[in-house]
Amino acid sequence: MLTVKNLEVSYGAIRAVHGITLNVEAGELVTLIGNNGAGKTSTLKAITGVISNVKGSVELNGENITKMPSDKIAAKKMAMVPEGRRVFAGMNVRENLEMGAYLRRDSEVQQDMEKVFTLFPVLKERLKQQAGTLSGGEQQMLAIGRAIMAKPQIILMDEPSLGLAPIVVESIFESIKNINLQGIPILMVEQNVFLALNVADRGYVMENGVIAVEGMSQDLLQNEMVQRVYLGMED
Amino acid sequence: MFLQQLINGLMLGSVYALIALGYTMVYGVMKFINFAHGDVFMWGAFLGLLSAKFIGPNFIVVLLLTMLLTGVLGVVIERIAYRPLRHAPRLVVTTSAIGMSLILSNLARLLIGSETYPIPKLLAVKGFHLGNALINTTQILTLVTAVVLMLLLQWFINGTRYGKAIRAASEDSETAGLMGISMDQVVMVTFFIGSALGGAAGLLVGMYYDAVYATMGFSAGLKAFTAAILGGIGSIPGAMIGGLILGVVENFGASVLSSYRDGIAFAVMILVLLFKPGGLFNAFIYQKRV
Repeated sequence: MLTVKNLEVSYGAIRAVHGITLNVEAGELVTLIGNNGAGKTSTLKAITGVISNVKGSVELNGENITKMPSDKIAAKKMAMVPEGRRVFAGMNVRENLEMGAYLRRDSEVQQDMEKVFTLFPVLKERLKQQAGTLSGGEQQMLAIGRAIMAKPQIILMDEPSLGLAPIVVESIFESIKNINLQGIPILMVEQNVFLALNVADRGYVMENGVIAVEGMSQDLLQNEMVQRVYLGMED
Repeated sequence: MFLQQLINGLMLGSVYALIALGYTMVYGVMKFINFAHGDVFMWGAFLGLLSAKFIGPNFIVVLLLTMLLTGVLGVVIERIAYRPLRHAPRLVVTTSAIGMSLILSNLARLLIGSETYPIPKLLAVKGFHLGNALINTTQILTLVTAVVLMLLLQWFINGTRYGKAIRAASEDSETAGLMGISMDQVVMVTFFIGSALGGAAGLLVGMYYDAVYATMGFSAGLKAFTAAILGGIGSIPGAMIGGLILGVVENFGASVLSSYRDGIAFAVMILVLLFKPGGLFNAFIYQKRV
């Protein structure tokens, strides 16, 4: 489905990602974990075309989308839930969801909005409220709902747990799992390694711009290095 | 006297508001001040003059043609002077805008000369008494046209797909791109509408004073820029209200201190910036990054 090969990302002379290779197959929930500054966000931004200073290749369903501008990539039905949610604060909840469906001309947009409300009922209550006045958790729900509105082939998420209370994080992760179980593949960047590996099928651990370890989630949870560095377990 | 000043102020203010919308919309989407906008307004007045000569006494058609031509002019300016600098620092784009302004105003002097031209009559001028104030048909037409155009803009920006895309792109262009919104399209539509409104203002001012000349863009542009700052640059309702307030305050001020007319307008702006730096309607109240 999504295949990334030897991806390199640079900011001017500084290289943040040193040639990583990863893939997401149909129906999978894959997580890309690692500490601050490991290059996770840069990787997502390169895949979605926000950053253009990249080398290597990104393919979506066999089509090369490397270096395409982000609005063209969105047209290929790749949706993104950006870091820090980035809802349109001055627009209301309904308008934010409509922006998610910006490129759609089909008649099922309204139906999909109802689906979002089934997943996140609080958004329906807040329909006319400006997104900037929502709580952090509600904004995250809105950002995810906005991605669903694109009727995507795949969703990329950048740290959905960022800045949220633990109880909210758990319910967000549950929703993410639900969306994935409905058949939408997801690539999720996370720093909350334990929770991410608990919902994901597979994971990649990123360190200093390279993939350090990869594998099935349950294997990674048992991995000695992952336990020591990311889960804070001593032997 | 009070009513008369209020009417004059509202009429002048509605024109400032129309021009201010061009500054604020472009700033909203591209985060720079399009200093060439005052000259677009002046060219709008000339294009209005040409349209009036060509079409004859049919205000609606002349207005629409003027707006179309000026809108296209704005789009062309963006292609030439701003699009190649899309990812350049804002200061560079602003400098390009100042250059564009010089080119447009000098081009006008070269092609049209330094004379003042009257606009052919598009409707019969009649005066009415409103209490003890006097109001004429041109004033009514100006006010009504400005209000109708602003209502149309409100509808476009809040009620249509493209309008909402412009709002989304003003708030966060990167995320708007992720939604599939094309910045090129948004910028083009923004320049078209902003310039078309400036062109309408040019025609209305030209009709009201019955005078069109090559340097008319400078002071009107500066005043409208002030109105946009006053209302909160980037905010569309801010530009509308800011323009009206500036027009009214300037008129009342000028009735007391007639030789300080322009000074009063800028004093108002300085006061607002001192006490409310984001303007009356801060467009970026939720925004961490600009």
